[in-house]
Amino acid sequence: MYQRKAIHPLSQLMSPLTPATIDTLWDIFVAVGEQWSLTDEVTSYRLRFETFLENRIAISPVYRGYYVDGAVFVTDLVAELGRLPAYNRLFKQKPRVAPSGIPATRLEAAQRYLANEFIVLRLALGGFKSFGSINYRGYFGGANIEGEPTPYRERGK
Amino acid sequence: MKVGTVIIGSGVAATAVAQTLLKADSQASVLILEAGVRVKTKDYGLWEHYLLTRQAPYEQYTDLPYTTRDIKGENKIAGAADVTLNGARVFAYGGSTLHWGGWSFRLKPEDFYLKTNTGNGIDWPFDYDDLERFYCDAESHLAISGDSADPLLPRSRAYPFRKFPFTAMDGVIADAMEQANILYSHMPIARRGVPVHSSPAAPAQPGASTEPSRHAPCQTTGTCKYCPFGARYAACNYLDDLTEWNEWPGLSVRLGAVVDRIIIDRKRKVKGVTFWDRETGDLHDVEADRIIVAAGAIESAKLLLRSISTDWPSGLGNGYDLVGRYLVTHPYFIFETKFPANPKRLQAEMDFPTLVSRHFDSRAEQERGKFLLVAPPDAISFNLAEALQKGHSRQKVEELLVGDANRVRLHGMIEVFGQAGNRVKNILNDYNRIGLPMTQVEYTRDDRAFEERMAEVQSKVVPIFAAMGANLTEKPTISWRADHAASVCRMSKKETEGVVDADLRVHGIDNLYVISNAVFPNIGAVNPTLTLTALALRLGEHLSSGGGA
Amino acid sequence: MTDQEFEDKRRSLLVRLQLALELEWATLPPYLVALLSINRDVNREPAELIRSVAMEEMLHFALVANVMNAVGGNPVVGRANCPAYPLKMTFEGRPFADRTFPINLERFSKASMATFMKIEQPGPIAVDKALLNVVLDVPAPTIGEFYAEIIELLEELDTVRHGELFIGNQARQLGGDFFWGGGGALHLVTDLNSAKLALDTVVEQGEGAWPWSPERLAAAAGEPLEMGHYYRFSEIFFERHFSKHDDPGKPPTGAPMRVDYAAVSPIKQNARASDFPEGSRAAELNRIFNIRYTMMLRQLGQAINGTPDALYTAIMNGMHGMTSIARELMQTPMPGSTSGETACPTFEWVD
Repeated sequence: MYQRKAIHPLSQLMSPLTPATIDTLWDIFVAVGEQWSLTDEVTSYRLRFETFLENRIAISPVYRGYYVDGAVFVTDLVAELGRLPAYNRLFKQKPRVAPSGIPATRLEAAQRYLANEFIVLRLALGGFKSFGSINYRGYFGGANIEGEPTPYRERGK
Repeated sequence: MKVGTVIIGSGVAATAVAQTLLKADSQASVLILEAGVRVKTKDYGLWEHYLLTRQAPYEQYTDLPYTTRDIKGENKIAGAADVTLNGARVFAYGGSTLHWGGWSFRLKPEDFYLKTNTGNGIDWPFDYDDLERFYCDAESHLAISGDSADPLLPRSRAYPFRKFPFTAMDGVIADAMEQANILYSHMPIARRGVPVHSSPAAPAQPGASTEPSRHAPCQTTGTCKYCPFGARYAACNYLDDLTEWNEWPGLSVRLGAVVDRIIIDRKRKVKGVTFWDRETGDLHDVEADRIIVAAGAIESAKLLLRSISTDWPSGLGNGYDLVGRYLVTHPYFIFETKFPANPKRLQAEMDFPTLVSRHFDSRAEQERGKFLLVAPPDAISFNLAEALQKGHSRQKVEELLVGDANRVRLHGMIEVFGQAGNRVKNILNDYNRIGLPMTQVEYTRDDRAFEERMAEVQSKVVPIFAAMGANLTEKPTISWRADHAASVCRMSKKETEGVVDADLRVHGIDNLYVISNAVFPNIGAVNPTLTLTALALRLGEHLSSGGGA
Repeated sequence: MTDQEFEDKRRSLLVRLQLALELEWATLPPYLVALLSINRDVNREPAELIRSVAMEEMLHFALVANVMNAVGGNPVVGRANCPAYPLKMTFEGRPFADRTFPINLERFSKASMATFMKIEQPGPIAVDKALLNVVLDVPAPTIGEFYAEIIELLEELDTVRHGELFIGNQARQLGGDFFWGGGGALHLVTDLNSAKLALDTVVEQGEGAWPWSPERLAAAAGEPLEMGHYYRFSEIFFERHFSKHDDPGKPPTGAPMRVDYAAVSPIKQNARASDFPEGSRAAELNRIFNIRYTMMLRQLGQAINGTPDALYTAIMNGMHGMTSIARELMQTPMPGSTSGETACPTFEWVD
């Protein structure tokens, strides 16, 4: 049955992200792999990453703001501290208890809506494989087909 | 407006009945009335949102929690305070199959004879053998992947799709069960598979699916509760098939139609329903030759209770004060303890369980309460995304993965027996967000007896943990959420003992039927949906072959 | 065969396979536009038939990509070879002998069904090849001959240099996970036999007739009639189903099929983005459509160049997103039209 793609009415009025913003967000996404020594081929995810950004905005228009400001924030942070220290702060300087409600700082917003979400996406696209499994929540492992290897680690194999 | 059949509800029961009626008579006049609205399924953006937040777009269509001192909620509970409705069911097009896990077990032969075997409750008015071929049809309808060679139950046809092999993580529990001499098997799961090729030289087993489908097979994506492929059966996706091309001219589906009451003609006959339209607030009457209530256990009972007349002052079919009574659900338990080191790096690779034990779902356990054990897909608790989001270093993440910081879990559910005093009622004039009258749940239990039983269960489960090198000492967490609410319009031979007969026709009324978990006299140790689907297909066949009104 | 000859022929093979890929790609927008223009209340059978053809064209695209990857090629999906409409299918600058007509993006109609029949028409057909090539002596091939030549090349190269042709990385191919809708299996291409099977499937699904001999009829008793795309479009055109006893060379004589050419969106034929005034709703919707179409194509290109997983996103996010907008566009009046025409997605690559 034909169902319209879910898109917030305010999102429909928004202009797309600029290439510069997308490039910065992409760098954060790439940095996830550097931070945790992931071995997957990140460049192959670029197109799907861009689709992801569009969809997040389509579901919730506030994400456009998170992305635009988050990109500026991270660019400034990198300029101030250098790339590695900046990403260390973004990914590692986390409170003990995950915050909720309105973010208290721009760092917190960048952590919750950029870093944390990019981590989930990166792992689901294939980053998880660096930790020993062959399927993962959010990864299209494939169908259960007779005569072909099971799309997850099988008992006894 | 006048139609042949009104079906109240749009979940799997409604869909299976409607499909059967229409296949037998393409001109059949069928009106499906659903109180809820449509939830967008298979939307990629909503799927990504679910992946990130575990929030699904149907969650707003469940009951709110009970009111607490400070926060207004919905419904009322009297008695045991933890038979919760919040999250138990979904009021939307497609019903609770929007959120179900797809565990699709057949009841066992002894489940049909609870009274004979244990003195509890009443027997079903038919048994496993009578229902067996409908179980086969139901497994096809729901697109079940299962082990056709499982010796537990006799079956006349194969599952449509092959079983999912055990995962590496299952291996830990399977090995432990073997050591503890506990039998285990493959979870029969509603995940569409891939058809097999059949040729004269190598014919497929009868029942096995050989034809490709428009519906996609499971791609082991691991986001089952909002499957981007629609591989986990959700009734809305199949009702859509029926309505897509208007090829059944007599079929219509109306959403946002809240049925207030069934209109009674005379003692043995109902003649329609009154519903109000959510959009406009207007009340409408529909006349029908026959009414099928498929509104889920609790709402089906409540609808009968609030449909009154001089002949039925306590509600339709309620001449013996049984409607709404004998409420049961499955207490769902989780045993958990520390897991010793994880050198094999076992992590959750799937989102549905593949290993189950029906060892204690047996005649021997029936008197005390038979129970199911399930190895959850995340039996070992390590969560990779969380570990990274917490800001741990790679090294620390590795330690968390392979070290002894993880927990190991075993899930299960257990049968409890109905009591007359455990019931659901309407709270008239107080409406929930969907527009239906709120629910009053009255439930008490013998806490001591239940604790004793759970201690017995624990003693049987401890050896499994021990065989894994884990020491289970803590009591389980137990949820009494009403997902499997049942028996509130139970089936019986004698009208003094139940609400519907063996054909699901309400005792004392010629043209009113109930198809819901409500009709189960008891639910055994297993999820009810497969049996519900079998009963629905059976009802459809019965009505199509001239049985009943 | 010398090394140089082998390399030259291999390169020629890859050029032809790339064109085959583009031919499959090029049929999809016309079929999808026809399908989407159909009013959802009626025309169920024609719509299901067109849909089944479109699904199989996607399968063909994947099979051709697999063959190309199997022989070490790099399939190209890009701006430069994105089909534009009206489309003329050409090979080495000349129209295919059996494709001298243009293919349009247009609404479901008797004329478009006639065109679709011509696209899928099986050989041999009477074509006055001399008329097409008044300047050159070399005759242009038919589509069927074109595919036959590909198969001949594969046979030749594999025979002469067995083990040196099917050298591609199998991980680049699309396997059985990706196609479930019926109409044949998507399989990996590993050798000459599997390559021929893939290409035979493409040809057979386009033009194959049902088993008409009594023996084959008996063998297929009880099964639904399978027929190539040509015959499915014929059924729509003649508004009748074929029966098993029909002669495939003649029109169908089976059960009538309901077709209502009036129950369609009155979309503009071969619309281009430049047809929509700047700032109009149609222009805006079309822009979003083309952005999604381009992203889908880019992900598709990626999927057949080493990242098969990208196909999931291409289809589930791309196709479904495009369908939403296409329908909306087809309900949107063409600004300035006096004939009540509505807009249509233009399937253009946008950077």
